[in-house]
Amino acid sequence: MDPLTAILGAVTVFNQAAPALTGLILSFRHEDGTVAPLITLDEAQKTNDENIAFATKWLEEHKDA
Amino acid sequence: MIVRLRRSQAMVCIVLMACLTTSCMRNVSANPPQETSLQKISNALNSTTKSMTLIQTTVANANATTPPLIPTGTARSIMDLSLRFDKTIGEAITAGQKIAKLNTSTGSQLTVIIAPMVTAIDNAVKDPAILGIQDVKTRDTIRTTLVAIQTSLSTVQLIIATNK
Repeated sequence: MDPLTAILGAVTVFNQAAPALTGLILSFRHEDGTVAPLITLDEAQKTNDENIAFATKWLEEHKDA
Repeated sequence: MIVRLRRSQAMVCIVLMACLTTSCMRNVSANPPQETSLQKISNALNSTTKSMTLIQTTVANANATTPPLIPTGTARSIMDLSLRFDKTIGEAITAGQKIAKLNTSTGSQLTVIIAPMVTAIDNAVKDPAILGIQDVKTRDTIRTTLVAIQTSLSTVQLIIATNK
């Protein structure tokens, strides 16, 4: 096996392992092994923070109207 | 000699990666992502925040038309209500982020936060400020969205109740 083939092989294996590695790292965030709840909640928090900022700004702009 | 050394290094690298992959796949398949009760609650809270975005945008846009489809006083009442609601949703999200598993104790923590939200939405659906909106399309959008939030929160309550 020439070095180039060996490197390509290693890269291919790494690419295949990447999603599993990502899943494993994310699963550390919840004891029961679920991955998605915190991701969903992070998204909810971001939307909620934007909603609070929007409503606060709107109320400030219309407080004397 | 150098070529042989590089080949052995490459082989070691491949073997290590293969071991790592096998190990990772085993760990992930042991804990596959699944639609747990906590996931359903997270989805409901996420959907609620999106509904609030729709309500706030609808109110702001309806107030910005000439003449305004919603008078500023009414828009301010609804926006104020939605801001208070946003802050409570924020508490529920923060509580949810700290919970690793839904059980009697964590379910009670969420119930304490969610119960006032349900009451607030129930009142909002009957709020004269909302019922009094003259523009039918705006009123329907707000009321339909509030009902969607009611449904999401009822789902959360049901999930908590069935997990006790």
